[in-house]
Amino acid sequence: MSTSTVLLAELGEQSDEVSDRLAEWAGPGLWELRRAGLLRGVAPLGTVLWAAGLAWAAQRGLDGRPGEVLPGAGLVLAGVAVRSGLLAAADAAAARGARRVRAVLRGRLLAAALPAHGPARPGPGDAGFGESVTGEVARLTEWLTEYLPARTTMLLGSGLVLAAIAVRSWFVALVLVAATPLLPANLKVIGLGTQAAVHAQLTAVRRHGERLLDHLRGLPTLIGLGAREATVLTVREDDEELARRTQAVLRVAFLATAWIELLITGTLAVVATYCGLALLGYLELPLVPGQLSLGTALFVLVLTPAYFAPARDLARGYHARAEARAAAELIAPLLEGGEPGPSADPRRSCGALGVRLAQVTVRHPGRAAPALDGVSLRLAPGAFLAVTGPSGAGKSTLLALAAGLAEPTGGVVTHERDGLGGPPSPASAAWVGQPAHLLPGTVRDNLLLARPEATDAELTAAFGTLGFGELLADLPGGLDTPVGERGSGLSSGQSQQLALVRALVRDASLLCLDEPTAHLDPVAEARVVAALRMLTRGRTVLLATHSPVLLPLADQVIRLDHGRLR
Amino acid sequence: MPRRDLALGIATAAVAELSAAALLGLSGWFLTTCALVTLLANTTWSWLYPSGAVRALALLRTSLRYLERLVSHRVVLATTVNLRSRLIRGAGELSARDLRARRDGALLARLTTDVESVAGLPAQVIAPVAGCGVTAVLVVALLVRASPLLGAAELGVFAVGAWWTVRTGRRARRHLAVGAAARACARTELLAARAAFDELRWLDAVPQARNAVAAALERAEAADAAAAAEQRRGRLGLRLLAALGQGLAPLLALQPGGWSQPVPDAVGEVLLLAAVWELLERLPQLHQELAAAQDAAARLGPLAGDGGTPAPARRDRASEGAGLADGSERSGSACVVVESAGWWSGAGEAGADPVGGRRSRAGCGGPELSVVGVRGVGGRVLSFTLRAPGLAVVTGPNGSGKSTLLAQLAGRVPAGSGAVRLGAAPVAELPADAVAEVLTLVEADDWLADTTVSANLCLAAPLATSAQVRAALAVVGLGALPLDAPVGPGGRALSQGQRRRLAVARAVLRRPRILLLDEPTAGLDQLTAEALLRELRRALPDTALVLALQDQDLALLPWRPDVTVELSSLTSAQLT
Repeated sequence: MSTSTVLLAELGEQSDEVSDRLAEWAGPGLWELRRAGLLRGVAPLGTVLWAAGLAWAAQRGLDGRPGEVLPGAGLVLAGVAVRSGLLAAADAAAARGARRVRAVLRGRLLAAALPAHGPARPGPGDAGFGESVTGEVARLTEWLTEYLPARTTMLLGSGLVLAAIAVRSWFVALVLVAATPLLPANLKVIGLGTQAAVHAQLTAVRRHGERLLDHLRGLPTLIGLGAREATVLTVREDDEELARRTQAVLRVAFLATAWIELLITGTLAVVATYCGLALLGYLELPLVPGQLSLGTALFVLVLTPAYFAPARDLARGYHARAEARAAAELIAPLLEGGEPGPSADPRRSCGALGVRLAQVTVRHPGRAAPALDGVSLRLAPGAFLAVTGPSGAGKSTLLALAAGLAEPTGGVVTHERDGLGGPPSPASAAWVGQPAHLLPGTVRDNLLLARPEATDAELTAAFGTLGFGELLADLPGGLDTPVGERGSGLSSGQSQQLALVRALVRDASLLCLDEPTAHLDPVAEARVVAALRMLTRGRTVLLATHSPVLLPLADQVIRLDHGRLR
Repeated sequence: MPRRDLALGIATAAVAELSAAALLGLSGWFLTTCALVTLLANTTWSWLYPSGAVRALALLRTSLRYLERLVSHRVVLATTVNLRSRLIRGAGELSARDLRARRDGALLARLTTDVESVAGLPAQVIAPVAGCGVTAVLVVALLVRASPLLGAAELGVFAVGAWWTVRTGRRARRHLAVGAAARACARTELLAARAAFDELRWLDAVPQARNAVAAALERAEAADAAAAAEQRRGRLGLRLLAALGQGLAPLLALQPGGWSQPVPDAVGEVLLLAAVWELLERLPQLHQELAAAQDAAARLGPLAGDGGTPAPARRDRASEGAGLADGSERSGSACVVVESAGWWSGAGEAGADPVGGRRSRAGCGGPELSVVGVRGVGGRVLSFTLRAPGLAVVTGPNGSGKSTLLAQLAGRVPAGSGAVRLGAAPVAELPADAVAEVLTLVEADDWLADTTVSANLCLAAPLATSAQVRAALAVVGLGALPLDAPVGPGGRALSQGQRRRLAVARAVLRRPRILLLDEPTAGLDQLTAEALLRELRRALPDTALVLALQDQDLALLPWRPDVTVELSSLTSAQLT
């Protein structure tokens, strides 16, 4: 048993950050995983029974008592059956544990990708989250089901087999114990070597995934620009680099398995030769037992691979662990920061809302000029303020700040209700941006996001209120019209009008409208103007527009230029 | 696919498995023979050869396994690279609409997970299966030779094992297909929710969106768990059959009777069987991988360039259109032909195009874009011809089909009942690359690569100098934008107006003979919009321009259009 302990100490838990993190993640499934390890550790008992049955049958056959073979054959059958039952139960337990761990981790990733409070963190790309939730979390599975239980399995399983062998031949047991220390050094070295390589590979995979998705999104455009072959070449270059990285990892990784196989087969050959010579009676060495019965020889020979099998599984699990660590290093940054505590949320309480911006500055990363530069502005409850200015002057940024969707780099934004100031809350605003984002689903699904309890009649009425009854009639399936990803299936003008209906259904006290007529023809624009007249009653409105038709609606018009009020 | 590597992989797999089985069998036979020899005091038997063979098999097995793994992965990687290139090239053959109809998440899944499982098929499934098969067949042959009864019995057990594997594999396959679909759905929903995150925040609908993704993930997990359970059942069944097979061997070989065999042979056979059954335990896993690869291959089919099925249909329509087109060809002396076809009501006004004679310089044989009998959204039929350097303007209310018409002109959307021809050929039948040589379309929300401003521009003209790049930016009024500024994912680091103008600048760099712009002035203030249109013509004096514009933006045009297509959702459309 000491050999296994040595092996474990060598492999040892590196108590660094990543290991701690992985251990923490595995927490929810640990009980099931331990159970799987125990069951797998007991499974070699079946193998011992099988070996005993075989040895019994062979010895009886040799002794010329073939009539007594039946119990041996029965033992062979029973042994294999016991082993299969135990392994099936262990696999089921491991799968349950791993599933629990994955579910918890995916929940945390989703909470980070779509935080319930506060803005989405910039940085990780969309493909990064998609890849993590579906791909990288699944990369932990093998580590959970194979590596974590493998240590228990090896201690228990190898111990059982070694004990069984020692009972029949202490010398063979000694040979096996002597071969064991050859395992750990090798595992350690190769495991460390592969981890850096695996990490580099996974990083390359993700970069590659982002590039691939980006290029595929633009494929029609790229082809239209005559760049299809260039795209094929770019992706192919990425792919080939990836293949090179992968092969470099595999050459080393397979060495570990090859070494263990060499050790197992080599030991098997040594044991076979020893037993053969002992059976022949050629062995006359001091201290070494020179006599063996056929039963004993067969028993120890067939159990030799069984002794090493858990170590082989552990080696396989070690690669799983390296992969899990590499995946963990990619997942962990996405989880960082976690869920901010729920902010005070005065959502949709009645009464008009005022907005105050004090010396607000916004800088976008990677841009020298600030998007907004020291803007101060007060929007009284119920006021209607229009913002004009050339494209890129910071109008959209100003609206996002006022709605509480963005946070300023400097300065303060407050929402005022009944004379009391508080942090801006997006939930008290309705915001129509450009372009209007619709989610995949139906038109109804998109509108119900604004008010889940709304009935079809209320939704239809909302179209009517805005004078968009014709838009609803033009939709092929009415409220059931499917909306594709990024609003495909609808024209951009239709999407924009739907976004306005959604804002109306929301019934918020602050309206932020970013170019609400940018995609509308004059007839629809006139309708929107009429609708806005009705809609803005009792609400605070912030409107960014170029359209001269909309400006007269506002109580006040301000002009932004290069991030400053003019 | 590298066939030589694959053949090598299969061969090494088979020999490695064989030597693994032989190692155990031979060792058992060797021991028993030793015991027997001692018992019989047979001095002529030499132990050196069998013992040497045992060591040789041990070495052979180890080195072959290593080689097999390396070779098969080389095959997998090479196949992946080739398959992916082919798919991207094939995706280019699809129409833009087909491509766009595929959800982002699904498309990414196609090109990553699916490609990998299809590419892994030859090396990671076929080679091991071949190894298992060869070993099983040889062992059964050996058994039949030693004892026909035992051989037949074991063959029967193997057959039951094969049946069981296929049966559980089929069931698992159904679950896996459900899981893959749910995962793609989850990815799509997550990407959509991230894109619309600001909207979700003020709608207070973030938890709903999150629950939708979580529900899709849970569906995927449940399906995967069902598949794994099926796989476990398959493995359990095989192991129990292994118990039966190994129990039968000593019983049949050692029981006294006509079929009994020498003890060494019987022991060797049991060990051989044990080795083979251990090998066969992998079959459920391999079967599942095979099924997954087949499913993936079915999903990849349409992308792999077998999507040519609509071509005949298109040709039919084109010939129909050619019949209609005769009139316009005969009156081809005029550079811009606006022609009515069939039931279009405004034919008279079209002929009276007052600016028709202005473009005498266009007679110099530039590319000609003609539209014959294309049905608009309202069911009305359009016909006109445009030659460089003419100007056509498409106006109409939202949803009247401006974008669709532009996509039809660019050949990205089939032209319905009529035909759009570039020169003499229907544009929809021309190779996309050939169309790109002459014509460039800038869509309303065109794609920008997630790199820098200059890298985006260089997509259109890889050889452009930085002076040319700056000039193109100046044309669209973005001269102040730093060349190395990142545009962000989907261009979100830029404002909408900047995004549109960057896409236009990219098209300008190509200097196309025909340039189609979808609402280039939307979201721009009046001065910027006017300057853009003016500079565009100055930079591309010989290009035919087709602009889709809002009615209210018509006033921004510094010069009169040669063709004005006024779309409307009503059937009483007019072309002025």
